[in-house]
Amino acid sequence: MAHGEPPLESLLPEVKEPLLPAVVARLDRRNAVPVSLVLLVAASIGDFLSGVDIMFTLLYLFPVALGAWFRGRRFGFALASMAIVSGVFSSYGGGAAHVRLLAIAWNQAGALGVFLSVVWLVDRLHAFVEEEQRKRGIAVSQLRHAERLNVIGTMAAGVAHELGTPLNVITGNAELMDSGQLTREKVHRSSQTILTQAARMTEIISHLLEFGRRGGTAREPRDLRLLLQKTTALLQPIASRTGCTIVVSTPPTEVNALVAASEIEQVLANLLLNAVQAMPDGGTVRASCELEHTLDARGRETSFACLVVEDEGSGIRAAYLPRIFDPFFTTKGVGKGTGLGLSISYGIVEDHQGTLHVSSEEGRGSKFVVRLPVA
Amino acid sequence: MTTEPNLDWDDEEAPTDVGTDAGPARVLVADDDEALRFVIVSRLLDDGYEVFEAESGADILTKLDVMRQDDFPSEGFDLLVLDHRMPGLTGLDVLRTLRASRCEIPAILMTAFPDATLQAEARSLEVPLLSKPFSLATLSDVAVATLLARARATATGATP
Repeated sequence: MAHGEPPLESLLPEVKEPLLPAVVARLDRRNAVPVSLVLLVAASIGDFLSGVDIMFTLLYLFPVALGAWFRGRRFGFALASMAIVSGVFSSYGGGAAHVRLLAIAWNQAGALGVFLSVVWLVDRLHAFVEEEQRKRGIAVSQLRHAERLNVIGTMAAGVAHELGTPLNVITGNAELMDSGQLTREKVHRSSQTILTQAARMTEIISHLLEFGRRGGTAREPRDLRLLLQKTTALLQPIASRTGCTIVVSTPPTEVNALVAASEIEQVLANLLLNAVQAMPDGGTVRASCELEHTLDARGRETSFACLVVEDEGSGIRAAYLPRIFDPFFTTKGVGKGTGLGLSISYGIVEDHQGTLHVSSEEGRGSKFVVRLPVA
Repeated sequence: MTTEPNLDWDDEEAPTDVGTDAGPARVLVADDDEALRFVIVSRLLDDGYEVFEAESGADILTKLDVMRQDDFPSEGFDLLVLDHRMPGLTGLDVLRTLRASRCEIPAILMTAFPDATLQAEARSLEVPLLSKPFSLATLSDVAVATLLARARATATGATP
């Protein structure tokens, strides 16, 4: 992990802390109105059951509806103060004519009180939830970046390997030219080789740098075939160290999905790396992407952009399957995995309104399917 | 550099002198990267060796077999320069196969990723390990040192 990044464990409380109940998270000032109306309907039913004149109920609905219409606190407070003052007067005034009128005003004040309290409470809770979500967003993005650096560490080993050969070709050609025994034509050939090898190295390095960049989360239509090919190219060297081959199959037409490219590349890198690590004695990882058309529950056709990563490795024990997307759950040895790769991938895919599914059979291999909204 | 070549030959001694009596030493260069193979082959040709190429581990095994049997009844190859990471069989796989079939051809293993495991394996097979990028001059030196070591061992009868 790079210097200055917080240790992963320190982020754990932020991520695992259960947020406020979902119902509170969904409240805001707009639905404060229906909430207070529901309370009033409940009060009306109470009035009806206890034999209070239905006219009272209808009348105290009036200022609430008015307050809801304006949604302004000042207006609501003014109405409520008037009602309270008239209520106070009614205590001292007496007289049959006033009593009835003031009773109505009193009821109205009570109803307004309910309305305003709900608005106030919801505002406070909403601000709190927003703050919590902001903090959580920061923690999650730090965590994702930390895990991304972890993947880069693994990739870098492979990339260093990948750079060794072209670098050697360059130094070798320079030595040949330096010997002074080459014909003009051979010098030209050597220079051309140096240029192409340098270009090859530049490409490898720029892929790695691109992957390491703290990517934005803005979604745009991207062709998943290109993302798949780029990520596979970065991981191929590390795969071949253990005798694994990554076989990519893509359809001839575009597979466009609405994604934040760097995030989906991270998901792919995680899945591919897991697949490679599941086969320490070598094997084939199959990676593919395609457009999938299915019928939803109502019989309408829906489309997904699918990414599939399949290995023929050790598979996942059935007992572990429900836990593999949990943070810090890992079956890899100490220091080999953070246990965050899959949980972060799951989070990223969910953020994209997509799904991440696994099917696995112990000893036969595992298959991960990412479904993303089409662009 | 993983292996320091043993530079204890006379300066005047040309590398080709370590070849067989029949002529210059015959070297088989195996790397799946054509551009790298080209520079290595060029340098070894300049050094005066007779150079042959292979693209993969399987290719090496085929060529060694062919050489040992009919076409070249002489000595076959005198030196194998091979990359570790090649498609199919790795360099180590090839060396293990050769040693298992009692083929003691001296070899130089090249790798861009000389981790501890690989170093240990190479040491146990008594094969010098060149980590990429290496200079062609170093390759020449190691080749001479390896051939000389073998020549000496054969002369004293240490090698079966």
